[in-house]
Amino acid sequence: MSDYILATCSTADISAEHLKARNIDYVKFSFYLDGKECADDLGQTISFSDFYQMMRDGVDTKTSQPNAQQFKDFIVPYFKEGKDVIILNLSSGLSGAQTSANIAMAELKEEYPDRKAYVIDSLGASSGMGLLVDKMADLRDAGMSIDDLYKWTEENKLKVHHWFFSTDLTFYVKGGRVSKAAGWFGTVLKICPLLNMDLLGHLVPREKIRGKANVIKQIVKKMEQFADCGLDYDGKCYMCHSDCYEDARAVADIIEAKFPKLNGKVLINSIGTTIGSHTGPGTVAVFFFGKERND
Amino acid sequence: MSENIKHDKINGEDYKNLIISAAQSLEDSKEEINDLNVFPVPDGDTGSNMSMTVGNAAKELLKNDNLTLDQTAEKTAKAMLHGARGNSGVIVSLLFRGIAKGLKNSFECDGIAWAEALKQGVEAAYGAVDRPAEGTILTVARKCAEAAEQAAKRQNDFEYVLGVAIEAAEKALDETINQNPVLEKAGVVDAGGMGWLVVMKAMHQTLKTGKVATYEPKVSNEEPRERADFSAFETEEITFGFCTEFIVRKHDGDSDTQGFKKYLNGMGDSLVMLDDGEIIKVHVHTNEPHAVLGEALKYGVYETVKVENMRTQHTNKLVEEAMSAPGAKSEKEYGFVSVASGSGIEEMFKELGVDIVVAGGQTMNPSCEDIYNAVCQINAKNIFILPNNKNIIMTSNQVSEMSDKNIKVIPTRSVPQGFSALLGFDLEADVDANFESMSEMAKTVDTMQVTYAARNSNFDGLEIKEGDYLSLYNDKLLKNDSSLDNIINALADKINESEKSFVSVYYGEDVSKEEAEDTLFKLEKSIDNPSVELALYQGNQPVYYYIISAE
Repeated sequence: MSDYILATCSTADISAEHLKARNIDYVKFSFYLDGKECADDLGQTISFSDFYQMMRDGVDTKTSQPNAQQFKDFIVPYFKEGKDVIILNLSSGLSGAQTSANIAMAELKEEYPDRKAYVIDSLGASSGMGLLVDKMADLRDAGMSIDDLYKWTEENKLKVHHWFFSTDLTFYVKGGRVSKAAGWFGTVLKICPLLNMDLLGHLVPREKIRGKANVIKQIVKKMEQFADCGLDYDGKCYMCHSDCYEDARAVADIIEAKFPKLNGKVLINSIGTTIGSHTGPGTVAVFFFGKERND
Repeated sequence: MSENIKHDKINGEDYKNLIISAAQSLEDSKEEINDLNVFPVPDGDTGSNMSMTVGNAAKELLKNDNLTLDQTAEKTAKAMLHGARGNSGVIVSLLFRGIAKGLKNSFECDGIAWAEALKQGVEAAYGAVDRPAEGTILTVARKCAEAAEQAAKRQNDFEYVLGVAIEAAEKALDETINQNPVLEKAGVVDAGGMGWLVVMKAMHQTLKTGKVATYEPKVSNEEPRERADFSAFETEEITFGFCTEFIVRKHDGDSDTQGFKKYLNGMGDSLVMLDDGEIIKVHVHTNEPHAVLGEALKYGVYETVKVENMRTQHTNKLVEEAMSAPGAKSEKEYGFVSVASGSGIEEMFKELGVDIVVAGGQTMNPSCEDIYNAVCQINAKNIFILPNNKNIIMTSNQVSEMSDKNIKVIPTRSVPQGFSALLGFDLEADVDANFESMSEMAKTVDTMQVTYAARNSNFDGLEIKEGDYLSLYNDKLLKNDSSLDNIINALADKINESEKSFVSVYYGEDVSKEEAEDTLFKLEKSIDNPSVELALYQGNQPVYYYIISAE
């Protein structure tokens, strides 16, 4: 049995039950509703549907990454129990959380020279992090050491593919996470951009597609193109959505029909409050393992 | 020239006279040529296009006296290139460009030289057309040049050679009926070929009679309405005397500059204003540059200012110089020019990132110069042109040869193709990759158009009555009917046959919102696949009641 702690952040967008069952802890990000700070506890305090309704109603949402102290506060109690910690963190391409974590690690090294804390920049987000940390839990359970797990994760993290689309771009443009210059967001022409995560962990609009049915077809095509062994892909597939389960279900149905060797059914999660503050409602994402992302 | 003199050679003044007479003759015959149009949809008329193209050369030549032959030929070619409209206009301009090449360094032209010049003209025209079709102006011009070559061997005499060439052109024109099945059914000769014959005949006639030709274009009352929008660049009379250009770095990136735009519109014409958030770039013709510059200071500080008196210098040159000057900042990597009509459609192109929308379309083909002017106003390294009509693709191709900028024409044949091409654009990709993906994207959309029959006709086996609704599917006539509902059903059948799942309906200026909603409803009812999404847009386009795309 491993003697170290595996953790991720609340941005991994998998359910609290799932994390608990896999024995994975998580660092809570914060978000603000009209200026009031709330801890991102995976929808346990404020349900996701309430959250998106508030966004639709015009409640101002902001997010806040953990500072170095919060990472220390998370890690130190485990250190005191004599346990090392490995954390899969949100992409440095989207958030400054990794900088906070690096500061925390440097300080902890001086304060606890005998303990190990690895905070890994996942270069991923949402259920893509979830998919990766779930795989890390498998390896941990198979007896991999914390050092080897750190090495494995660094070597394999870019194999997680993130593809997503949105049918409502209001919040993307507002949040500034997607540069306006990098793609035209023709809201009048009902353009649904198809985006992915690039090798630096940035969100990049790849294609502009008109109409939901077309973008659904196209996102499945991306999975055929990039998943390990194409249609013979036998890994897990995670998905997530922001208050548009029907759209996600439509994608999952096609994937389950097209990829017969899939490991289990497609797991559909909710996009949480941190990522959701930037996407707003209307986003659907697909995550799977494939060749290393190279652009 | 006088009647008794033998015209075995011509000089610069003679050539000028011949071109002017050709322009007048085309102007006089343009309706006759227009009537040869067989396609029943309201169309960009060949006669009018050719007349405007050659007319541009006549106007230019009338401003100049005592030029040598090669100078005259060069001026003719250049003016036609700028004035070229429609495919036939472009081909005529190419023929004259080749002729100018043949007459280079010549002060006189005899029969042999003329035959050689005609040959060069034909080469220039064939070289520029992607898939030269027989039974068109190209065939007529080629037969004409071949006959001239034979004639020149027999007798090195300009008038004789031209005369023989005309006989061959007449014969070739008669044969066009049999070379093109559409012409054969309609029982008419090719309109562009007819235009070339008119040009040659006018030259011959003027040479024989020795009359000094004049050029008096008719002022038509039936000009398509969209013309007004871009005529500003062509007016000979300058109302607003100072071409004023400046770049202002904004105090506040978010400040609204709509008010400034309104103000500028009130101060002059030919306004082009770009606001990218950081800078405002303005080009305007006004009589009060001082006032305009004062007002601009409210929005930011000057980066550059340039004011020139247009009455002494030609505008286009200035615009181009100003935009390409080494000091000009903020040159973009990519710019876009799109040709379209209708305020709604124009807005949509702008939303998709098009810098300038040149007014034009099916019934009014813009000239090379119209598109060229738009290109000049964009400060970008690479410029994509979206012609959005098959009759404007060649004109756009010519523009790329007129400018030093790197210009790529995406051969879009409809407005929806233009929209789709823009979806294929990626700011991060290089020019060639963008050209590829934009051209590919354009092909993924089917375009349907609903218009009215402009004339009674028997086309492609369809009996068409004037005023009928006509539907076109990817430029091909699909159905004509007096009932719109039947047309809608035919279009729905086409959508059902395809695997397309997003249908956009852009309704025109002659259709009310209620009518459009009713059409959308009926179309939706006739589409079998429930996952097909439909969207309605106010395009405000002329001529087409509906432009419908499926992708």
